[in-house]
Amino acid sequence: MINRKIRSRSGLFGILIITFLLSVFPLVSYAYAAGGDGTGGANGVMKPLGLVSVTLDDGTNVNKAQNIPLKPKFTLHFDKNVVYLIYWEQNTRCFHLYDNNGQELAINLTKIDDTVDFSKRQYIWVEPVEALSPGANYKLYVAPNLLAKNGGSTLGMTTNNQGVTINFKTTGMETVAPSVAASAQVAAPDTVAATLAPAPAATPQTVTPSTPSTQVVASDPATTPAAAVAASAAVVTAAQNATSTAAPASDNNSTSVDVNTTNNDVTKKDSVSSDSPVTPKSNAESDLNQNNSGAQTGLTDQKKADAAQFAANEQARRVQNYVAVIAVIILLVWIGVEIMRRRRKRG
Amino acid sequence: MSLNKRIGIGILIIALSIGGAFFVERMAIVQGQQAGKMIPVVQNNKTIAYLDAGVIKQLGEQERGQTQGKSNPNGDNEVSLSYVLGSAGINKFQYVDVNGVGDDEDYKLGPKEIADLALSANDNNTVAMVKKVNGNHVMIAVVGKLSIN
Repeated sequence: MINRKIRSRSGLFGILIITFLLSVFPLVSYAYAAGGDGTGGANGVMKPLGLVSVTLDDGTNVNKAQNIPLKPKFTLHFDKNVVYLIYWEQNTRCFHLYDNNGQELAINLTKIDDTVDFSKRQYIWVEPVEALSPGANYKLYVAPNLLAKNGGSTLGMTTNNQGVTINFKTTGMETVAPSVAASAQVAAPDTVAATLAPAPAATPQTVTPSTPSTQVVASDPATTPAAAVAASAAVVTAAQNATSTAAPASDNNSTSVDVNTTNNDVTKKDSVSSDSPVTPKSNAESDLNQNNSGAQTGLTDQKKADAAQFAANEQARRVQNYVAVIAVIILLVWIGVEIMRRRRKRG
Repeated sequence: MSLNKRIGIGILIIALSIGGAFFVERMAIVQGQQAGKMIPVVQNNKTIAYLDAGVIKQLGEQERGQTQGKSNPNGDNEVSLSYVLGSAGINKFQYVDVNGVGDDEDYKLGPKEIADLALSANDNNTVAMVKKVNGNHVMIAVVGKLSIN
């Protein structure tokens, strides 16, 4: 009699727990989808898109590297799906490779579609069409309007709407004519935040002092795939890029992202550098500040609103996760009690 | 039934569910391809992307958004073939084999020939290939496969 009562009670408890879990699970899966994959809806939780790491095929960190091969293949790892077919055409216009003189070079962009291999959805491979010059400095720029699959997360959300600049130097000795060498000042390796695209060859490269870096994202080097052999190649010519430069007006400042080799942490520096292909950085910066002061105010308000929205969403996500964890704990406790009860009954 | 048996059966059900999900997905892809509702884009004998009518509609919207102010002959559910290939990650190719489902003809098209071709989403979730010059001439009623060479 007592056993039957206990059994019916535990059964009821079990049904309650399962009902609770079923009601909680959609919330948790929704939060996971928004955070992990970039598939979160426009009305729900939306995490910003960020660059995790930039490496070569062998896993070498690219940023500030001094011995990059002349025909490198860069693996850009983002934290969201950036290869979605619908946005790929738009995303291909966000990648630019500049040489030391600010001239844009043709690049091959490669992806593996997420409908074919879901595990490669966060990777884009960038390869210069022609071999780079030895001993020269280059900049790989990713514009802030790189869009994730969810259609709302952009790279600008993690880079203060400035995009990402990756600086590197190729291996070998520079072979430059004496006249050019005299006029063009090569940036020191540790001065990362240089002008992205200074137009005149004779203009010295503007270098800003590095600011204290803040850690943004941690990455796991093991997750970087060795190669994307089966990838489809999307050739993006310099001409195409030039006609459709994706950087908006506020992109004249670019954020430099340093990927630390030792701990693979991506650090963000709020260095100021220009993306304008025709204007030296200092002039461009002052002009921008003067001309766009009204627009900047609006942009700041927008950013504040976005930040508040993002914070609220994060809070909601945390609560959902807590509820899910508590539900799982209750379920485990119930299973434990049930096992104990049955053992006691047997004994 | 003992607890161990119940646990075993539970694990078996979970394993079967997972296996079944993969099987159902595979079946859906195969059936979709046979019916022309799922179009594989194949390059070097490897599938590099899948297209369907929904994707075609969305790509059409994207293309119209990007060509605002310029002439775009494509209708609401249409997108140019070159734009589709670009979205699939293909910009350089020698020719494209477009295969139809069933008795539909197959076409081998070079980069210049695809300029005035569009893919159009049909009402039954299949996709047709349409020539936009001299009216909407339907070349393939139900596109089954795109092979890139």
